[in-house]
Amino acid sequence: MLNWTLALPEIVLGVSGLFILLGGVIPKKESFFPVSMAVIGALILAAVLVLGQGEGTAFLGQYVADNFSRFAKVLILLGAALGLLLALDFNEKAGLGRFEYPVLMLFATLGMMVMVSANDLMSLYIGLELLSLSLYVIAAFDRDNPRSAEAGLKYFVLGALASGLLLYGASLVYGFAGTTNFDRLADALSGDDVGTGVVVGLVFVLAGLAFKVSAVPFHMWTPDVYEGAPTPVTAFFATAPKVAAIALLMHVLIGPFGDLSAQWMQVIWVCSAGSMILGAFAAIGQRNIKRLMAYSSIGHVGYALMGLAVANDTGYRGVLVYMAIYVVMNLGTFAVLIAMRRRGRALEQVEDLAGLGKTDPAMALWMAVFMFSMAGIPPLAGFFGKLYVFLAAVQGGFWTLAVIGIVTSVIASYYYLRIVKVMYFDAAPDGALDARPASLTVVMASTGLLTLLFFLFPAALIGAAQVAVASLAG
Amino acid sequence: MEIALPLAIGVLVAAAAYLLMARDLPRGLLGFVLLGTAANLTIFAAGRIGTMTPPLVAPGAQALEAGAANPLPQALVLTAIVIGFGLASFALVLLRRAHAEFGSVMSEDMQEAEPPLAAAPPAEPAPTPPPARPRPVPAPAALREVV
Amino acid sequence: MSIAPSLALGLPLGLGLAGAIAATMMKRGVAQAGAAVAALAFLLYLLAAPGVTETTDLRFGFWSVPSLGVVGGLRLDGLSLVFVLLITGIGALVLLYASRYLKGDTRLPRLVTLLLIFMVAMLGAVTADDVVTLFVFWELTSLASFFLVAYDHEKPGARKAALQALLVTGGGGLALLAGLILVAMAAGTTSLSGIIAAREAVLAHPAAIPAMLLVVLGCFTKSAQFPFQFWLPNAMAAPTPVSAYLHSATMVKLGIYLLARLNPVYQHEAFWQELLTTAGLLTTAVGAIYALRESDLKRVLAWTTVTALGSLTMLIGLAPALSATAAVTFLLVHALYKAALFLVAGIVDHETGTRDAAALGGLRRAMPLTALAAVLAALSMAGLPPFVGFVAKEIIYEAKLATGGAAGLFASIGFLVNAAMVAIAGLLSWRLFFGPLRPTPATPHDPPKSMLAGPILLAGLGLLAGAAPSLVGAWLVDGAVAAMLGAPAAVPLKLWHGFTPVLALSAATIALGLLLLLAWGRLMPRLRRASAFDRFDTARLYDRALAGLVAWAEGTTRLVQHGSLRGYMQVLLLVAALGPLAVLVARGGLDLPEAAPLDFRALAFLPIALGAIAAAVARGTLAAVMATGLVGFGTALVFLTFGAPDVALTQFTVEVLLIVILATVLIRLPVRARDVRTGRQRTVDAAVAGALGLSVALVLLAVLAAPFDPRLGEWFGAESVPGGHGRNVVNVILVDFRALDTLGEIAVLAIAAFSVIALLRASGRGARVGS
Repeated sequence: MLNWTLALPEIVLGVSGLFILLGGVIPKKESFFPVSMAVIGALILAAVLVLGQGEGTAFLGQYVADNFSRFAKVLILLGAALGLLLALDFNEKAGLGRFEYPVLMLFATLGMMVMVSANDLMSLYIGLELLSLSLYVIAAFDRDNPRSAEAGLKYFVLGALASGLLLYGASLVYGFAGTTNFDRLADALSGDDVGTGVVVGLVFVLAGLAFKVSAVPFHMWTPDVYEGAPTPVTAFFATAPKVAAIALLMHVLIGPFGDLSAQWMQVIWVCSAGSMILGAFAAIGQRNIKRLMAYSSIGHVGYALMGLAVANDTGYRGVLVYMAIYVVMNLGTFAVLIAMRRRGRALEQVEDLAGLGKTDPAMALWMAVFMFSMAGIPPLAGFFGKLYVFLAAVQGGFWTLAVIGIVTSVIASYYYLRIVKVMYFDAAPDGALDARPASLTVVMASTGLLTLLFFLFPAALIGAAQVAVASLAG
Repeated sequence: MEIALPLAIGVLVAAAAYLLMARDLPRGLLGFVLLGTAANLTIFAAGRIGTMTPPLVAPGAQALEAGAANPLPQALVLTAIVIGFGLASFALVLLRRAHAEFGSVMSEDMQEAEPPLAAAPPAEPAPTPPPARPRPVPAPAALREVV
Repeated sequence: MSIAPSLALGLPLGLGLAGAIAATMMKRGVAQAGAAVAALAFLLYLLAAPGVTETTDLRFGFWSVPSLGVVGGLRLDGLSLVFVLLITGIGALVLLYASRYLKGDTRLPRLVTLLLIFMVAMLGAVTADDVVTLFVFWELTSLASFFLVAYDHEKPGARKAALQALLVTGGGGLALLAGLILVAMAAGTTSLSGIIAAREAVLAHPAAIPAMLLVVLGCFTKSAQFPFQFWLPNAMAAPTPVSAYLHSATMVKLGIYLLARLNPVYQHEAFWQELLTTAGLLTTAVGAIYALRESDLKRVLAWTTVTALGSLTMLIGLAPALSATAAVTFLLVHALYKAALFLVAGIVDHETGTRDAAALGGLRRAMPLTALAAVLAALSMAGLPPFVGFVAKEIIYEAKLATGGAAGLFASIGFLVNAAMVAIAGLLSWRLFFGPLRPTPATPHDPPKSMLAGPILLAGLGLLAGAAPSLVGAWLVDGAVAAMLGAPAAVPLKLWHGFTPVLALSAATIALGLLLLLAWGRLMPRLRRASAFDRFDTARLYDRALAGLVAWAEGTTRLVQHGSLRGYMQVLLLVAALGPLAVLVARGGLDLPEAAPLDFRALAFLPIALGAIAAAVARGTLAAVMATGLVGFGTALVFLTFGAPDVALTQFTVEVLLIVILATVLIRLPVRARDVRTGRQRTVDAAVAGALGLSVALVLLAVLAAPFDPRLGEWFGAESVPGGHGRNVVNVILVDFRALDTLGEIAVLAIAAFSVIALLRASGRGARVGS
């Protein structure tokens, strides 16, 4: 009945978290580096366990492990491990080298895994809070920077409100169906008339999750938090938690609320269109790259949601493919941004990239690859991400959404290409960049190669996404 | 009861929202605590109320007698109360930290993340967008050179 | 003799890529090596040419995504053959030219790499047999063009031109993608030959017209058709070899290629014909007028290229076999003479230090071989016999006169435009090289052989082809025409048609052209000053649109993302309030729960409501904290009253703890205790809050009005003792049935505690601001 072995990855991650915490607390000296290494080890171990995991439900149906959760979890663990790798050097230099950082990232990851596997509204809420709490803290982690405190506070206040909305929505759904379990909800909500409470409840659950994926109109926190938080934190925010939230959104909408798709499709449609439009236009005037990346991420979520709005298997597969590619591109971009330091000062403005093509051709090349990919220029990975959701939208007859997607891609390509222009054609300021740690080079090169060469082996990712979708919808 | 409790929750939520929109963060924090309470009461109400009998299986009986309160929402509320407490304590520390950084607890004083080229962000945006003020917006130098 | 399709189709791409990579590492002879690669590719295609006729083609498929119905592959038919020979042949000559033109420039390896990448992209685009491959290579050419135009990136003009070209063609490319997806969906295949075979299905699709418009939009931007023509002259900021290669001979013809490729699908559609002929005609006129307004040699050439592209578009729209033959012939002719003239312009610029036509003259003596190339090419451009340009012009006039009703309009505009072309041709040969020698910044002399080879060879080919038009027809034109029309239909090419009206028209054209040439010195400045033409300059629209977009985007962003937490909160709460109310209205009002009579227990709700109101209106923070406590105790009372003693106890304990902590911390903060909102703000906030409260209450009422499924609660009640061995059902649920939640709850609490410690540790040393 309990099948607790299904949750082995989470259990192992949680227990190693506790041990790593002890290992970090006991020594007198700051133990950021060894603790980080241990956390990365634990994340990899968990990923291995996830890959070898069986399928089924555990804890009286509160927890589910299947191909879908496996896909999302591997992506999350990969994103988290690389995200921590990005922080190693930066945090030491920026005075953020405290062991709490990796431990919080581990707990955040644990929360994400619980979210993905949650098969019950209450478990979902708990996983979300587990994640959110850790994120609130690491957003405010930089004690020397008031903007970091501001970021943490804004994120907390708005995030808490969103969690509140989600909890309120969940209780409305419970009030109608008498259960919080996804499978039983799916049965209870299969009738023709589901009642006002359920519809409102669904909207509020959606609102809470839309906040986490920073989709319009729940995106407001994103630019301020992305800009204010330390850059590795921003990189983490932009990757793993987004995957978790999107996966959760899919799980909730397709599972328990599957029969209400007529209702939620409209909501997702609006969120998708709004996010694409805002992401394209608002980024145009930005000069701080982190802020620009915030709007970029809003736009990308819009494209991913397009696949969800279509509400068929092709669309869902498009979402998964898009998110996987998105994570890889973003990690690479942030690796470049984190490496941008001159005389010990972190550089965050678009102008700071000027002349990178001359001063650091290798890094400029990777950055160009990521920017072209984000702009959706073939044959880079980002193009295929867009292609699959656009195809799904067109096949599903969502013309307007597809056209909005294409138009906003054109507009968004403007600011991505502007970065390339600045790198290659603007005059370089004095002084070379600081030496780049090997960890960043590893992340840059690996994600860069994946982005560059994706078109040679698209079947691997698409096949995995297909299998994942099959277990979700089937 | 089915009418009185929703009304009470409505009042509670309205008060919470009013506090959340306040310009000082301590009031916002209180609003947040009230909102949590309202959510807990909603869960409790959603499981239907009316009876006064607690969900205890009588000694000797094997199952709960009919007419006892619904046990599930109670369990959920217990979980939610504890989480809410954790969040509230955390929020308090965050508030203290923000006060240490900014020397203020006014949310308006914390807008350092705004783009510097914004001449003056509308100090008090009404919930409906204010009428557009025609203001020549200078394109940033980097862009003017490109376009 | 013929070679395997895989060699003919795959190898040139591979060679080009390998060459591009090798070029980055080479120090010397890099352009010569690049030229050799292009020449080798040319040879491969030439070897494959016998396998390509009006009815046969070569195919080489290499990838597929069956789940999407996407099949990719390469295919060489008559139309593709014309393009690949132009691309590789002119590519080889241009690279050879660049080896000298940019001698000593440290950026030469980069230029060669980009040119080879561009060549591969072009070859891929014109041999692709599926829309995805086509699109990928199509956009790659735009990208390569971006980097090539911005070659002199220290010049702001070059950067601006590069971005402009990229935004226009890249944007059009996305429209093309949308169109191609639609077309492919309608046809049920992504294969281009499949799409042409499924012609009826494509035309019958409900979105057939939008799909066609999107495709045409992509082609028009790429091939600089009105109103997108403005990017092409600006792209002349690129080095001359690049202009000769990309912006006259190859890339700008990619749009023409796709129009020709898809012509079998749309050729009988009146809308297609009208769209192409109108746009083409307008483009020729705009190009001719603007060409006469310029004196910079390269810009003059760019505008004549616009004219030529317009003619090609128009000819594709003129459906019948005659015009298709004319289009293919003119395409070849134009590529030959225009590339030659560009290279000549480059030589003149290189040797004299200026490319202002008004300041040049009499160069014949100093650079006789250059003059020869210029004259040969110009004669072809002017359409004089026995050059192939004459053949093309004759057949174009024939095609125009054969259009029936609108023949007069087509012929008269064509007449004027052609006269302008004759004048320009004279300008580039007669005025530049004959007459009195004018002083120039540098002392001119003929350049070395490597730079002369290209123009002389290309111009000479024009003469040769003119001498034997039927051979050219049999080798190249017939196959391409068959591909354009879907069946073999080419009209035989002849140099001499006898004394026909067309010949008279030709003679008149030349006469008027010569008059224009004589008047050029006075005409050009006047035309330039005539501001009437500026109004039609769509470049201004583009500039204004882009600047407006940026300004608008910034303004709106600042309005929406004002950074005020309070503002965000108001928006969120308002959405949360109005959303459910909208749902309620949409679903037709509200069912109220059956009202049980109120009894004394309702009093339990009183502390909650009173406490909440008190907390909201309390003047001091501490008073508000106390009122919050009252709400908490009231809640505990409700739990106690309605059968939840455990919950009541927990709520009570937690509330005491929370109030103590809150009071302790908040008292220590030296803060203004009063609510600092102004009266108006309070009113607004109260309205939003009231709406939210109302919405919550109404929705909750609606939920409670619905019947409740009590089975799950009953199941827990029944299973508690046998399954969980406990009599307190709530406890059993917490520690047994829903142990996972409880575990998670503990984890949340633990992390909250950990976070508190982490934050305190973080601010321990950091609390230097303020206090």
